[in-house]
Amino acid sequence: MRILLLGIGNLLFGDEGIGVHFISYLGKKYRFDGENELSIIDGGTLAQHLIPLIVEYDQMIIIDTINAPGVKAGEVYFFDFEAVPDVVDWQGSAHEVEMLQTLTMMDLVGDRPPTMILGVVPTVIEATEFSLSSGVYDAVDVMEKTLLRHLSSLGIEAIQQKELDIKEILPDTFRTADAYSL
Amino acid sequence: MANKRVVIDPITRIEGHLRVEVEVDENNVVQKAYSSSTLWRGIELILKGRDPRDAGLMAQRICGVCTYSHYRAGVEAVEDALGVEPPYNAKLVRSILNESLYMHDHIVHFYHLHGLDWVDVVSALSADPKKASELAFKYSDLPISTGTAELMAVQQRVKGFVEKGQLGPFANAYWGNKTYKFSPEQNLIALSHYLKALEVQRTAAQMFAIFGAKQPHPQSLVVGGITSVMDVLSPARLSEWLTKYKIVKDFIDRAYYADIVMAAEAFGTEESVLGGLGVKNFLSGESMMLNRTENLFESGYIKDGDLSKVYDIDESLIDEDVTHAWYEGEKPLKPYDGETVPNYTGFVDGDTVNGKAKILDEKAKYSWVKAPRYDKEAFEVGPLSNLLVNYARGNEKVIKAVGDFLERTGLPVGALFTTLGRTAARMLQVKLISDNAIITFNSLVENIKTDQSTYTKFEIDPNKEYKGRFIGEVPRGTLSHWVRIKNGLIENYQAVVPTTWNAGPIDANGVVGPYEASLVGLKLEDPKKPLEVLRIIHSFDPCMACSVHVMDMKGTEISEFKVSVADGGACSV
Repeated sequence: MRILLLGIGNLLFGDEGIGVHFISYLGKKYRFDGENELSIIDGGTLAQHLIPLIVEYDQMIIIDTINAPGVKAGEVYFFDFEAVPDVVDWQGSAHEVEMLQTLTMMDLVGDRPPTMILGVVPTVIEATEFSLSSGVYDAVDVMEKTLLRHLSSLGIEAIQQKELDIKEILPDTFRTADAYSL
Repeated sequence: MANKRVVIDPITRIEGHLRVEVEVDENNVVQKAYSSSTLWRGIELILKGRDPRDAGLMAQRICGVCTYSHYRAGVEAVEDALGVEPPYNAKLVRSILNESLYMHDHIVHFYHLHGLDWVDVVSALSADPKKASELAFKYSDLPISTGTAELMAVQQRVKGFVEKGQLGPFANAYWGNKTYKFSPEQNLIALSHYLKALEVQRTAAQMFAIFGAKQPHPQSLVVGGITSVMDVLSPARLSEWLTKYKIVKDFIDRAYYADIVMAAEAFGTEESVLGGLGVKNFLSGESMMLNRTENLFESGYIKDGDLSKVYDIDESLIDEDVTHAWYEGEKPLKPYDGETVPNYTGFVDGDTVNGKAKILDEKAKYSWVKAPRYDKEAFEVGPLSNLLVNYARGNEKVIKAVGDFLERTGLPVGALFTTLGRTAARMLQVKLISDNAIITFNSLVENIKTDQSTYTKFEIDPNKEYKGRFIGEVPRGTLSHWVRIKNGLIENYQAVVPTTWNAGPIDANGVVGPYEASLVGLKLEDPKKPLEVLRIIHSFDPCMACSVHVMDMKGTEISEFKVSVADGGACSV
């Protein structure tokens, strides 16, 4: 079975980029091993441009920011896309509206893999530097544990490679490959 | 009786967030219109003080749709500043990437973002599939996805979807509005193509990715050239591109072209799509390098809809006004010297057709989009501008494509200057691109036999100051990035993007931009179902995907997410 771990968000807007930062952080901190194959991919805000990629997988986990009535900053949510409660507000960010539409468009064609969503409630949306608010920074531990537990249930073990604080990787997440290796 | 205000916020099925307010008189005719981007973007501030070689990689994060456009613009603005000339192979690959992007982008725009303004899905469910299958031959000699059995299957699939209560992408349209003009059978043909386009766009995305080196975020461009060397030199990768290119081109020829011919027939007398064009100045950059001497499209501008005169662009006449945008600033600034100091003043109380609400404060400031001007005048940018400028230039390929289409549909040249014309121009533009992309591809195949260079070495002298820009054509219109480099780092950066040209607010001189001007005089069938407004605005292909999170779109609870710093211009491409 092939499993996709897809980080979604815009790096230019603080907490909004947590999905992308988070998968980059996991990729550097752990090596993943087990009976199933795991791909870790930076989806940015590409939404429906991601469809050709998503269909290659048997299961998908999306990491994203999320908002809904009554939620508090830094809270973490984890749920099956099929069970998205109506109260979840996908409005407010182009990529979220588009990501939801993308998943629905895939349903129209009939080839969306089972999808879990790991969401965190953001606070800071400033376009000055690559950073996270303390609320979201503190939530990383919960997100990490939630995700590793889920991966474990899918037969994927995370083997830690080194001690790492997500703050260390924030400035370089945008450079997801070595663009100067000429 | 006082005018009534109609608020549409957000305008859905676009990339990002756009709010439009119109004032209608007692006959529901639009008297005034205001367009506002309620989200802001911060790329220019992030780029200050960074390594110029990273400009493209960061700029591509502006938007999930215009990723490549901003990536390339960021790279080429820096190349222009440093005086770096990338090798011919690199230029061709960049052109192929741009052509591939258009082939993906315009299909998605027409079918998945704009199509539901023309196609009534509910009506399609009552169509006779056999009749529809026969009708399809009227619009294409070789129709695609319109066999009787296929059309029945489409009806079943969509019915099932609707019955599950998941309207999904179909949920927001104004079904039953009287200005939907397709017959049930025509609706069914278009709906089948909608679903087929969902498949074809995947092939298009893969086609793009071949020379993008890394999917999803391309990393194949660097200042000085490209890095996808192995792909360029691989016969297998080249032929893979060719295979996918043919599939996508086939869909454009047999479905997209045919559906626009069908729309021209059905909507040719629908008043609300025969207006929708208020600013008759059109500007376009050059694009689509075919070989060493030829571009598919040249740059220039025309004024007052006059196709008999075409002018060269003088870059020094471009500036941006912020009188009615949420920024500080006394006078218009040139992009090289652009500033980005936010001054958010919020909304005011007002009356709307749906009761009291927060509305735009058009007398003060009302948008995160700046107002770009060329020589103090507003210009439309986009596929229509691109075609009109090149038509006026005497570009033989463009003249033939436009001529063939007008002959096929029986429409006069004047029909181009409408909402329908804008939508048709996007199709004609990508038809031209898909017909000619093979020339660029063959130029590359020929050249790599004797020349395999893909990168030009360069140095950045920290003791020198540089400035440079990219100006070119991307799917939504003319894009420019402007950079100043000092001490080896980015000193100032501004992006003037297509949607800003089109969606910008009124300027200090009272000059109105294309969106706002396009809506004045429009009669609404039902102000509570303002489909006609959506159709016009969507025809511009708005893109404001600046992806800020949970800012309240209704203008009521903005304080919780108060913005402390903003950027210049409010949109991506």
